[in-house]
Amino acid sequence: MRRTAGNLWRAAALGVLTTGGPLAAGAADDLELGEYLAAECTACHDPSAVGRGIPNIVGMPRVVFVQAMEQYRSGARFNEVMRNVARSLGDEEVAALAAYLEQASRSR
Amino acid sequence: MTKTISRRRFNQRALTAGAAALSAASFPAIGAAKPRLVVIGGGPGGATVARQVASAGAVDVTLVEEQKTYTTCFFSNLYLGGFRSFESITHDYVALSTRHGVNVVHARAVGVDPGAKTVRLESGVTLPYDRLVMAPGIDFRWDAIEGYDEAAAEVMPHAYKAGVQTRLLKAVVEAVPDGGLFVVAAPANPFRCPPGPYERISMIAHHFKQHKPKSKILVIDAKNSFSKQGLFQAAWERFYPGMVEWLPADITDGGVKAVNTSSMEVITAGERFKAAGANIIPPQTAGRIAIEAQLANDSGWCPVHADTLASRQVADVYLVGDAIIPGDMPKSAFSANSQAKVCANAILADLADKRRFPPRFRNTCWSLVATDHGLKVGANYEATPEKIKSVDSFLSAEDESDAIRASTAEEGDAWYAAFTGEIYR
Repeated sequence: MRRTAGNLWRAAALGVLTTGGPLAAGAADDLELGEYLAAECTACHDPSAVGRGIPNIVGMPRVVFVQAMEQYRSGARFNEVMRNVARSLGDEEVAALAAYLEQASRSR
Repeated sequence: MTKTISRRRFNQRALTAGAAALSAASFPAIGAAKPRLVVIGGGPGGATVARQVASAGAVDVTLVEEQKTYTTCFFSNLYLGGFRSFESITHDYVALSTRHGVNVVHARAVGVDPGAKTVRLESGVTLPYDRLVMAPGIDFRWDAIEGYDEAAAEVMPHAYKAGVQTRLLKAVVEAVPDGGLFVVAAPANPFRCPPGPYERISMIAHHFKQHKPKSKILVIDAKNSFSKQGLFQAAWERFYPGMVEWLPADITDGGVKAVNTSSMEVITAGERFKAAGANIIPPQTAGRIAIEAQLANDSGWCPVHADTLASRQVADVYLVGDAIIPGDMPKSAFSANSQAKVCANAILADLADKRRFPPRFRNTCWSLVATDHGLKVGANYEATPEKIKSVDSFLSAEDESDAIRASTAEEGDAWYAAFTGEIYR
């Protein structure tokens, strides 16, 4: 689901003109959407994970997260579950998740 | 909560729903009191809704669960195979209550009055609700296999509700002598955890290979194909050659028809098999309390609206998990948790005017077939007016390397830790 039009609309409503794209940061960060989407991540990604298998992603820098999603989408990086996750997220949703995860606390 | 103009536009449906709720006199008369959500059932579906809604702070959440601990049916096969302890698959409700603000009531819910909007407990206490979530899981159709009733399940366990039955099945498996025949009856679709019987067969075979290598496993199936079939059968050939025989429904004319626990016979339309041990997984329905509350249709399962998980049959009641017929989503803990998050968001929008987001559904099932050898299947789903529809699925590749299978097994373990932590810690 891509919501580019919605993204621009929101940015305009807030009086903030961004250049768009998942890395555009600032006042347009939709942390509520990010929090909702992140509930999908926490079914598998343990914020207290230290071991093997599935990494912790809470606190991940947004540039790292966005790049990972792009790589899973393109196939440059491969895991069946993450390919499906990345394919199901539009640019606006990736941006919201990236913003939320970057600022989220490891404790829950 | 102040909403931006864009959110109003983005979220028009939620606002409409919120306005309807405000005008519908469903809020308590006392202005300061919070709306009340009651959740019946503390498995992955019910506990997730309770925790998600309670964490928002705007709704008073009561979780009704009879048991003080919850042993997960998922990964209970790994206990049978000797890969996990019973304790490692058993969780409690302390954190839900003390850390996450859920009012946990350990009692048996015996009835729902959708007119009065109350839940009746066995003690006689009634709990009023503004919204009710039912996550009762499954019950068994005890009339479906002749001779297989609750007493017979003490001899030939189903172990399809985890706990005492799981321990019983492990004892039965361990008591099989070397060279003994172990019979598994697998049910027709739909049933809880589609790969479950076949992961279980793998784990029992793993145990036999180590301790009683001349034993055999006969699988009498009520269907002609099963989840991850090619992958499971290839793994059985490789790791347990000659040990597992699978009989599709066409061979036996529909699977197990009867059992005799005195003679230890498992009976099909044309044959009787003398077993040294048996695991009978009977056909299933939605949990009885949901059927009694008129939430199920003729199928024995509960139809819901895909975008909210609201019942199609009773107002102000939602259902998540194995009790529902969701369309393409399998009955799994992962599915229940995914549905619960959509349901929690819909309830918060409805009761507390929180922002409503588009529903998102996902499932993944990991199965262990041997040491360091995991398989997985999964999909993304979307809500349509008719059902929850599969849109993008995957399955472990038949020709993938042992290294990938090992990392899949590792991933499964990591999922279990994260998933049960997200719900119960």
